[in-house]
Amino acid sequence: MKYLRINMTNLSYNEEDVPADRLLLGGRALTSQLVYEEVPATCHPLGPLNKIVLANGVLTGSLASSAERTSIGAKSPLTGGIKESNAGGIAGLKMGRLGYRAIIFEGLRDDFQIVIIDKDSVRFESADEILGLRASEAAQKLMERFGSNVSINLIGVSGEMRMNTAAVTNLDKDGSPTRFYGRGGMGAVWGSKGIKAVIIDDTGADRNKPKNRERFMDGMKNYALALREHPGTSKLYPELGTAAMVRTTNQLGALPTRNFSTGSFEHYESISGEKMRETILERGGEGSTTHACMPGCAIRCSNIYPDEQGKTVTTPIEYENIGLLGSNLGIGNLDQVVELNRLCNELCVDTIETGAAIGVAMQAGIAEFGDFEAAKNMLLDIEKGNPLGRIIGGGATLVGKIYGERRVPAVKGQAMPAYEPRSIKGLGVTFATTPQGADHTAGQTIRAQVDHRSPEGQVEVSYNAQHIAIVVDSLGVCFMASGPIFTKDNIKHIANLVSGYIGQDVSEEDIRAMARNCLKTEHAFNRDAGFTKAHDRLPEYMYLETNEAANTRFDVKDEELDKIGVTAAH
Amino acid sequence: MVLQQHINVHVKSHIPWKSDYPPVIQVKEDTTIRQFCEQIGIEWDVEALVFLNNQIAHESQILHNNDQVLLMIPVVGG
Repeated sequence: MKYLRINMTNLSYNEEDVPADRLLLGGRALTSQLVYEEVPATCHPLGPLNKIVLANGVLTGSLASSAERTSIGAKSPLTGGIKESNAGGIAGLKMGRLGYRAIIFEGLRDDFQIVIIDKDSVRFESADEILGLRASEAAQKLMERFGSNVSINLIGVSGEMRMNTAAVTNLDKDGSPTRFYGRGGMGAVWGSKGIKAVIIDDTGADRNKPKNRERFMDGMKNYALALREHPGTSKLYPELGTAAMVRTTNQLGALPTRNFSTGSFEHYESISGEKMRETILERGGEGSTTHACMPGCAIRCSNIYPDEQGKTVTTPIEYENIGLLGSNLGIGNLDQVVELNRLCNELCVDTIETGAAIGVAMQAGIAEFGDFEAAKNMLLDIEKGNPLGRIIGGGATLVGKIYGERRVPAVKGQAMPAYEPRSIKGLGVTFATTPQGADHTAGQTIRAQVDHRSPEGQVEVSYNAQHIAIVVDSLGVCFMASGPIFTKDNIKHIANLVSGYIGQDVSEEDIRAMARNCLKTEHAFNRDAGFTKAHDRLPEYMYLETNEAANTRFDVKDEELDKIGVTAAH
Repeated sequence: MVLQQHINVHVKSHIPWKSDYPPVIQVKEDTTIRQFCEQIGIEWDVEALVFLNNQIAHESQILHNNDQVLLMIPVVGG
């Protein structure tokens, strides 16, 4: 297993062996460790001292089900802190076959390059031909040029303009460029280094083999069984995808509505997972209610949304997108939500950050809530790079500052995903205290059978969830599999799977310790970057104003937050 | 001898594969919400997110006559 270092300033590269004591570091744990060690915490995120780490999870490339995820880490231009964002798709599988645990990009340049990595070399070609194109068009041209059996990773116009909302996308297993490393402005960092696209071509490379096949297969058998037995992974996600959450969050008073002013939406049924399923089945054609984003994924939570003629509009429609581009904007028409989602995908912007930015703009009176055309035009402004587009593309916090709007649903400069934290206070604790900025995948608590409206006990629930998130994000396992893994002690089977794959004895405790160390490291980076406990708070209005849908304000005490935040001793 | 009374519990399920319940189910007094779920074939904390009278339920809560139980899909991701 190797690290590949690519210097974008002088277009050179070299390889290093992964030290044996680092084989258990993958995904988020690896990106955060390398960023902590190699990136000065006070550097400019778009400057020459920042680095991008593209890292496979420990199990990525092993072909274990739902374990093909890859992480991107860097200092974030959105939060100013350490950031990791991960995605499914096929990049990890190809990278793994080439023997790379991580690819580290360094340096800076003004023009844009396509970086081509294959089993023999790394080479660079001008990206001029695809600059300014929408993602689907750029991906098509790249497939024509490099073949359809490669992994294509690229930024959109937003990344070329180094916007805070800029994401990185990669192909799913069917060649659609819609698997996003969405959060934290990672696309802007790619843009600053002149990386328009990275092609990973594993032609001629051998399939990855576990070091201890017997142990790996034993772990695999039990892991697959856990996925098959759990109702979430066996029934829920394949049928309804993550959009199944709309009804639940609405019931909890946690479905963000009109810029997080309340937590239930009068049109929630028309944007629910059930409605989406019904629509897809009714329209037929290329539509599909279930779809795997990664090869061999048994969960298949993705979907393909068709238009009335049965032609694909985009994929996938996720809960977060529905929440931020739907109810958060007062839009209750699924086709309209999907169209906004499609445009975000084409421009390669984070749907969460962009939906929140438009929500703040609507709050500030730039447009009316529910005005689909206005929302769509704001996305087209991003594409044009005109002043309003640059403002919206700067993210929710920037929009709030420019328009003098104090109700900005963000922490550490990053917009909240689609959960009202006054109603699900454990998630509020996660949003406040995770080093990642407001991020549900950094510690999801909604599933806990606890009183979400009570401030009591939420810090503990969140702290545990934050560690679970790091485990899955570091192993390369999809977050949807975290339920089965952490139910009925199945993590012991994961330890077996990892042991068999990397050929080292790895215990459950080793995995848990890895997660604890990762969280400490991320907090240490943020402290060095100047973060204080003032950064570990929700927006003021969420303490002062009631979410009427749940009749709650956020009231977890500051001292409680500080026990697990950036200033805590851990 | 004290005869144990029965109470009526109203049930609504949003779980497609666990939706064949009558709208009202009779159970014995002093039944906890967890016991109730197990009686109707729901594995506690695995198969459903359970609400009691529009609030997330705690497993030891005792049911009362005309209580409303809502079964939501157990979600983890997004």
